[in-house]
Amino acid sequence: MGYSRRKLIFKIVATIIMAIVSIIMLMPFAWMLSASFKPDNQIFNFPIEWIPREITFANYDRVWNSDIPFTTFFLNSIKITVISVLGEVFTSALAGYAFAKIKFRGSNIIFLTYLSTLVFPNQMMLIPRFVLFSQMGLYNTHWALILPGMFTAFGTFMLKQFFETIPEELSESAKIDGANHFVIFSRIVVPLSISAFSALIIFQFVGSWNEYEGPLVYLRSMELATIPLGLNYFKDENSTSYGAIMAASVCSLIPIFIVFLAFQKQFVAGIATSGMKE
Amino acid sequence: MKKFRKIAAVLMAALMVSAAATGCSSGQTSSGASSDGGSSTSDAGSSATGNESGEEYNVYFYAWTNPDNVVELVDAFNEQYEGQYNLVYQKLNDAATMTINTALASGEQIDVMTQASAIDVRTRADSGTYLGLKQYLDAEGMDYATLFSDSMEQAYNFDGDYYAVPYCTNINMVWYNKNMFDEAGVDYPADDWTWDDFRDIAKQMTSGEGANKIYGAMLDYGGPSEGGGGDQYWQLIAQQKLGAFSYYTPDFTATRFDAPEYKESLQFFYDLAMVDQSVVPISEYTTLKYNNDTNGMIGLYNNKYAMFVAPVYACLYLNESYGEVPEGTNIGMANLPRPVGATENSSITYTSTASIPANAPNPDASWALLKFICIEHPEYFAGPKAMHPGVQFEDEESTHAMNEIIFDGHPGLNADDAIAVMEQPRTLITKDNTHKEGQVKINDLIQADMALVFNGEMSVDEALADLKTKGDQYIQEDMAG
Amino acid sequence: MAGYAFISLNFIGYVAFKLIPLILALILSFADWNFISGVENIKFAGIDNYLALPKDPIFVDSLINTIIYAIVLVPVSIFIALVFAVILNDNVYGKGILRLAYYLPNVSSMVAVSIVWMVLFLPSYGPINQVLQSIGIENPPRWLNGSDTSLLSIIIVGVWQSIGYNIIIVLAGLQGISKSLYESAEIDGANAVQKFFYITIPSLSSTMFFLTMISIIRSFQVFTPVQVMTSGGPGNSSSVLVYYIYTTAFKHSDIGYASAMSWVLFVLVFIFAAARMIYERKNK
Repeated sequence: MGYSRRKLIFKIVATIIMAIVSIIMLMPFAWMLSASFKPDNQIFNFPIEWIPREITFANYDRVWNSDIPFTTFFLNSIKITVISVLGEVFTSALAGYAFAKIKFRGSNIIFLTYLSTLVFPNQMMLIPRFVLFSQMGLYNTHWALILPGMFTAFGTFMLKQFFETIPEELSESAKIDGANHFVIFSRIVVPLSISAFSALIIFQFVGSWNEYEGPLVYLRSMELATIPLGLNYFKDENSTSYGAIMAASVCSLIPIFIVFLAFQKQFVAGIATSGMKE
Repeated sequence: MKKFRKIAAVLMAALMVSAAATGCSSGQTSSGASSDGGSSTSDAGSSATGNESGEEYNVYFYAWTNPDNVVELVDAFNEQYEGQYNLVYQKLNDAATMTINTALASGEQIDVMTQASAIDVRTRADSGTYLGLKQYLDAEGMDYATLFSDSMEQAYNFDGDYYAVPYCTNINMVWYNKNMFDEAGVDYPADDWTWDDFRDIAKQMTSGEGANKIYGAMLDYGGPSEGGGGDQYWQLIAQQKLGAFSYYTPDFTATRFDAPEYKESLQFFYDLAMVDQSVVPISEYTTLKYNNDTNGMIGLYNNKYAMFVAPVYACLYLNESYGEVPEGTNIGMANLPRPVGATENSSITYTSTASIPANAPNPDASWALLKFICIEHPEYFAGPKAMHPGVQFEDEESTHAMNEIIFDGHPGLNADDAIAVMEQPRTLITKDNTHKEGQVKINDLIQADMALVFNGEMSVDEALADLKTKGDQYIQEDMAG
Repeated sequence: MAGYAFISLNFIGYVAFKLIPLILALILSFADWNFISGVENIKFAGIDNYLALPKDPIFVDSLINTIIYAIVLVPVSIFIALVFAVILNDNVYGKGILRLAYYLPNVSSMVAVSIVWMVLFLPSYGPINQVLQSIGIENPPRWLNGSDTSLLSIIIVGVWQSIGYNIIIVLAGLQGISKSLYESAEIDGANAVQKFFYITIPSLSSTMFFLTMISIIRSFQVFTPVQVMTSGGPGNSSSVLVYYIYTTAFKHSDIGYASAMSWVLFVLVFIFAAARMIYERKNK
């Protein structure tokens, strides 16, 4: 009896401590949210007023009615993320299937090449890609962001690992019935791999949505900017108002928070599996 | 070595082929993409072919000013060259070296590029990025020195050719918030005030504590060049006393950061920032980006500080499109203070220039635009940006007319008063520095050291000693290489 | 044949956007090229770019800062995550919600959180220093504006952002540890700390391996917080390798030199990753 009671107390204490720590973790967000509703002269009042004394929407008004087109940034981010993530799943699934289920000459060599390039930091690509894109006329277009995102060694590798867990017997029996690889792929393997696809989608979605270096280097026109880049523009031009910058930060974070909260189970599962598979 | 060249050549050829291939297909792909506003590549392609069939040639003009400031220019230019050229304005996000270099390397069609940094003109010209303009000036019978001034000619003559033409001269002045002066009962700056007067007034105008402290003045004495800053105004007094190319010795073989003028200059601004604490601290103005002149003017009319050192064009930021100017705003413009003991006024200036990239497809069209904005019609480009043109006016009448264009129509500014101050005599000293040996590295070093000085981590003497030693070393290295 | 058909799409893109850029990066690192002057002005420079590196004080500073960033951030953030994950695993109520709270910084864009932290860190009247002053610290650090604290501030933001991810990975690893191990340990009278060191940590070795590898690779690539918050300053006190590569390439247009630095970045990641891998082998 005494033992489980001690355990209970321990659990309550641990919960309280972890809750306090989590509140500390979330404090920057809380401060940002609270400041975004304050007039500029009250933002730095001390002790910190977590609930604004007077609530103003002027900061949000400034975000949405400035020369800096936030709506456009959202649409750009959605476009780039959706196309590149779906594109990646499509091309990686095809290639992953080939590596996992088809024997063909050179497959080992090609796969090893894929694998070895995983060690190269992405930042190394920044300069050569810029040189390539400017030669190809892709500079300052969304393709400069979409295309590299569509063809990744990581996605191929992850899906290959998953496809290998699908029992060979399933495709063997289909083969006997006269099905070719395209049929096996689309009728058998794809339906069985939805969980792997969603893990990959979620994993890459966050990365693509928050990507900053690529847009910073490959885009010039403000109308093409994504949310992180647009937020930086906004910061530079409106930095005299902390409230407005905080409001812009809030706006930039809300979509990803909503997606995260809506799909949190898949998120956690996706990150955990992508981690294990890597 | 030979093998490397071969491989490089093959690879480059492959690049070209792939570029050509995507170039063709991008006609289709980017027509979809152009709905989202960017991708001028496909337009560029079509315009080049369009020209042959007798249509107008699109002249792509790159600058960083708001598009509404070039409306007049576009209309006037397109009218004059109707049927021949069509000006297309492309806005850069800012005037930073990085922004412009990236655009120049991007492969996009650029017919005229602008810049605010003189040393950048030099490095770009040296790397073969820009077209020599002497041929065009000669063909028109124009002389650089007569058009712009001897000192401009001296600065922009690189081995007998010119690679940039100034479209404006920016003269530093002091802007002040008259309402704040009235409230504090402090007299407005006198026409012949000195830096000591400036310091006294800044002290008197400083009040309050913490987040809501009001400062006597805001000036970008030592901020980084990112985000529209990098003025390094701690040098102002040294520049006033030493003249153009201030930190080089006259023979350009060493720096003169050990000169007493430099010590006086840095010590003065150090005292303002660190002793009196009467100017906005560096940590604050780099975070709030008051060193971006637009934000600087906004801070001034929102009573964050009483004085603001900035070029003449700062008055443009009183206009509605840059922010909401409160009712009753009353901004005045005063001379840049003179060094103690000086008998006449002087100010520090810099020019912004326009150039033609060496790979511009139609240099004649580029020259037409260059001539239009810089020489023939400064009122259409410099004018709407509230800038003095680079070309010199011969008579007082046209000078006055230009001043009216510059100062009229800004809410909260009395144009007549400002023009009266502007037309007082003063010596103009340019800080355009095109001397290449050591300069890029010295400028980076100045930024790094001044961040330490104005954060209280390095003393005035240490900083100047560091600048002297390393600066001399950079010059020696470049002269040897 | 089907194999090539399936692989072709991904392979072409992979070659175009990964393999060719990599080869190009290698070639460019031996070139003397101011890239605004056009492709035709590339000159062969041999290994000059590499030879110039050790003589460049900003490069050396950036290199050291990057290594400091990685060797502080990786163990700190993994250790904190390990402790938190063990507590969260089955010793608390509301595990789901707490896990969510810890993970929120990780889904946020680095630009947005950098901007928020920049304001929190303001030296004169930022909330952090106001709190410090109110508890009696008279001269609180200048954070991003002090050359001795700017890198530390960036590390703090990095740890704060990466903990959530690490917790989730560790939690997934904890699921794989059989409960019977703990039960038999309890019968033997082991306390919580002993269980942590003798059961939990050894059982997590493959998770830890993955986590350190990915953290090393990520932390050597730190860029955004530096670009947004400090631009490498004051002085070069918070300049890191990728930030210096970025300014060298796009501000000074020195593509060859920047490419050479990017290979140093690779070698650095490779050495640390290899060291970790060898350590892993030895322990098995």
